[in-house]
Amino acid sequence: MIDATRLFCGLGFSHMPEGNIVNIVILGGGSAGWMTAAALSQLLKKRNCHITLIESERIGTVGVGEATLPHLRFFNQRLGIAEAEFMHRTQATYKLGIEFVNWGGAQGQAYIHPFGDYGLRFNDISFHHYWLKLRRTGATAPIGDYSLPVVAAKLNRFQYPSTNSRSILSSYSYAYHVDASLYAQYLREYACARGVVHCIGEVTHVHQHPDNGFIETLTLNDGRNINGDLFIDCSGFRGLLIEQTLKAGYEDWSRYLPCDRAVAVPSPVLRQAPPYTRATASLAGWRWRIPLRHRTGNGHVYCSAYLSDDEALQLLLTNLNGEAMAEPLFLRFNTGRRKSMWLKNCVAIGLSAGFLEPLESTGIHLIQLAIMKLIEYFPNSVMESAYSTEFNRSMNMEIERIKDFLVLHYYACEENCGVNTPNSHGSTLNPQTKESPFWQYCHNLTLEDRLRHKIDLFSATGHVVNYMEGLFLEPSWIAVYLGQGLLPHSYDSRLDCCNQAQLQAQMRALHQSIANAAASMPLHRQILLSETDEGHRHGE
Amino acid sequence: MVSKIAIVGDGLSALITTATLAKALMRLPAVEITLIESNPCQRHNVISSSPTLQDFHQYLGIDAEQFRTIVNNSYNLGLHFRGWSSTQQDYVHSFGHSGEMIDAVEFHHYITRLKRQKPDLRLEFFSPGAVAARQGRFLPPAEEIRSPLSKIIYTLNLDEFDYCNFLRNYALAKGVKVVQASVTDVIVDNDNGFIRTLSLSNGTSINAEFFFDCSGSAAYLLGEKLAVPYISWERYLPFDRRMDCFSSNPGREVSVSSTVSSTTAESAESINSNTTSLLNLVTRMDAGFRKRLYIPGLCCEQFYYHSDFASDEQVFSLQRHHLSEKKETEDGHRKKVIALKPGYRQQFWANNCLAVGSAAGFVGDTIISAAHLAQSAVLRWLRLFPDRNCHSLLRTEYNRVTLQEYEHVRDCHALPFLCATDNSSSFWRQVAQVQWPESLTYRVTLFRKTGTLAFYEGQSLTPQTWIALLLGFEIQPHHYDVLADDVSLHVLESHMAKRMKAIGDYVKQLPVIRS
Repeated sequence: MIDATRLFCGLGFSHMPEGNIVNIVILGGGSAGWMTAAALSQLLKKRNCHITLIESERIGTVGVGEATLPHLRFFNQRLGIAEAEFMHRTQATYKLGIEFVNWGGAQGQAYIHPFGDYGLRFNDISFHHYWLKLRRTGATAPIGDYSLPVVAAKLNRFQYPSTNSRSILSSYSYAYHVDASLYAQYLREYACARGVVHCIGEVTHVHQHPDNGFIETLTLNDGRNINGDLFIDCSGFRGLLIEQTLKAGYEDWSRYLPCDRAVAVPSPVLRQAPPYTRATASLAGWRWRIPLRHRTGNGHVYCSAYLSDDEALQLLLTNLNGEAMAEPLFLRFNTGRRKSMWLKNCVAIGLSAGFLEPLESTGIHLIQLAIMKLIEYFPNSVMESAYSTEFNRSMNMEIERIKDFLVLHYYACEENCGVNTPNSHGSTLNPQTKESPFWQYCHNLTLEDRLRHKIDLFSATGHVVNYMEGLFLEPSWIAVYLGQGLLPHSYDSRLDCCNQAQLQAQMRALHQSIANAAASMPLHRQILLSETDEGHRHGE
Repeated sequence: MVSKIAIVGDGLSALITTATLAKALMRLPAVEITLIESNPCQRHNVISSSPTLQDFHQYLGIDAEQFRTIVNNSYNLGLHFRGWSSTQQDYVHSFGHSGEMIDAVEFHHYITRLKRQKPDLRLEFFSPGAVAARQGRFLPPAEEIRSPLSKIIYTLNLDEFDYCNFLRNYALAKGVKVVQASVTDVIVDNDNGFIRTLSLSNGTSINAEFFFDCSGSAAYLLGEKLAVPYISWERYLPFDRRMDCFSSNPGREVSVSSTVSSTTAESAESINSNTTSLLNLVTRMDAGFRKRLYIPGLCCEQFYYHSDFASDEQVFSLQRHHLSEKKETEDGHRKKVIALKPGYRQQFWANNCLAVGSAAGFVGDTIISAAHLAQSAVLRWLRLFPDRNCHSLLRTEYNRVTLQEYEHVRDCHALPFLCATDNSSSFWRQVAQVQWPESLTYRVTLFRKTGTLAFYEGQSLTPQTWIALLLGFEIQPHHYDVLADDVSLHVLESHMAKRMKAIGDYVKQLPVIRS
């Protein structure tokens, strides 16, 4: 028997990688482009790749106030970006969830989809079953009152989650609201400091290999030729390489998610500094409000078949918290996904890969996910197609699941319009919404089987279809189902025989402890102020 | 709610079901659970389990130490695969992790990288469980030595007879009724096909709102009465018989060179090829494979084979051949032949009846134990707990998720067959012709080409388990994560050597386990 440790006693010899990707060309300088450039420049730094980012100054980027998901923290950590510096440079605020206003439901006009759980699992039965049981007797507070991030958000309070898993303060997570242009700018400095070549110009010609169609060279309007082994298409909706050159094809989802326009405009800062995004249902779409440190990002996502640009702008402006601070920016899009996000030697990241409206703040997350998968499946110059096949397969799975979750918001909203639940406090419905043919369309939508099954199972039994991988898991689905008043016909029948008085007492105690914990947190505004002071003290 | 429940069946899956339901439901008022056993297990037999056994026992509230004094058992740290491919004789599949990430890159990519210079390098060298098991060393968990290494994950081989009695007593203590009778008739509601009443051989009858069919592959309730068809996966899991041969004196490792060609002295040399009582040995044979399990005083050899390629007599004489070097005891001749039907019930849950165990399907019992699938089935049912009407969407959801799990486990048990490269017998020539399930071929191809693991939904197997299996069965990736090149070869080698030394030092402290 050989001592296995002796395997390593031999002399090491230098490793000579063969057929490596040397030149990486990123086309587009928005969030997607600079996030990709930053991540590749850091994570592939020992590969000695030459990374070039081509950005056209004439083509504006879609940088508006951007709400994110907690995963962005891990992206920043991986890049070694300190949170304080990031917060400061991107004028960021903290985010505990999204408030949905006027989306229907029995719990009044609004609910918050938090980054956290509701209540506690008890006797192997999810909390919402207990809540549903008590609700029948009218002896319960709204479900949000049993979620610490929801209660804290409503009080405009914020605190870092505790790392002590036994503390109630560990029951949530958090994300950020960032100025997307500032984030891109920050990442540009980061990437350029790591050797990324920033090239201003417009692509006038794309040269492909005559046999296999691989992209070889991009010619710019000043005559320069940029060669590459791997091309990342971050050129936005138009997909200059993935679609216009490689004709990857687009799967249109506008039937399920019919909004196709947005208009964005900034407004003054919100004094109370809400630690949450707001999404308000509107006549033919919805409006966002994203609180930043230096201003507020606002926008209106709408469906052009039901609302004109002027009407949409009007609705946005009349609902602003103050004067508009800039000219409105209009955007057009088409919900769906690129049929192949990775085709030949071109990977589409960002809007060029597909578009899902920002209702659940998934834009930056999908960019991040694609970047991390690209690194996981990073090819060599042979471009083994197994990498792209799995990349496309797993990205599709993620994006399809997010799509289901988004469609639920539209579908469940209208489903309840006109159905007044006995417990609703007066009329909770937005009269605009009730009349809207847009929402009627959403209501009458024939859902895809997968989503149909999820909704039907919950409506009938209170059970949530769960999966292991995916962005939105059981608590998120419960937030939207219950928030929008899609109340199940039954709950776990084992609770039929539990002691009502005892249960009520437990729920009251939980409610109180969450209320106390939330009240003990500092105001979000103060946290932001103290961080700014901190920044000044360290004399940047 | 469903408050009257009947469980029909004799074997372990019936008792796992009964004990789980007893724990979950007997504390609720008005719940009645009845187990109907016709011919409970009477003889000692050895079964393997999966590490989830401990979670299961914790769920039931069973004291682990006390359990080990009541049920005859031995520690099991994994499986020892032998003779499965021509290039590799030998692979220990341990339950625990093998190697931690380095710089956010999965450990196995570094193995792939280093293997180019050191072809003898194996992932299992970095699994404390595999290293300890090969040396027959293990320290019972209560006396755990503090170590920076990941814990050695273990499970138990159990005496089935003892274990069944234990679970039956557990259920009885919780208030479950046990009836010794066979089912003579099943009365089904004509309106909705729900089972209402079972008539029993003792002249009584049992009404219930929900029925668990644990009656084995015949599936007396779900298959025969409710006519739910069975879908065969025999082409992927090519065996239809299992012969259990018992000997009371396991003795020392017996040479099996007659069935295993020793072509690669090199790899056999690099590791201790002896096996130990801490490992369940799984050896390839001309017409299938055999698996050997020990508990103190009893050794069970299970021969898995296909009746088209080997008769029971041939297998039995093969068994006698293996035993010939040993002092045979009376018990050495005891044998039992069981018909196996790889496949699954088209609906695991139909109307008010749920199949658990072989009634639900059989997808192998080696890497993931059948006991695990039974535990998992009952817990899944409890998560979707129905009322008396058993809403059809609950059934749909249960069946959807369960099928995913079965496919997943089927794939992992088919993997060794897919990887076998031997053409020396008609059985293996036939195996080489099989069109494997797409989920498995995709997984294998992706891993071979890229070193990454395809993601599929489905519980029971972690990504680390899959990676260990794929490497263990010699699916050698052509590529690895590019970031694995970031560490210099020198640093990586020294890291690996340190790691192996740390594991070796740790294992040396552990006492040798005598079976």
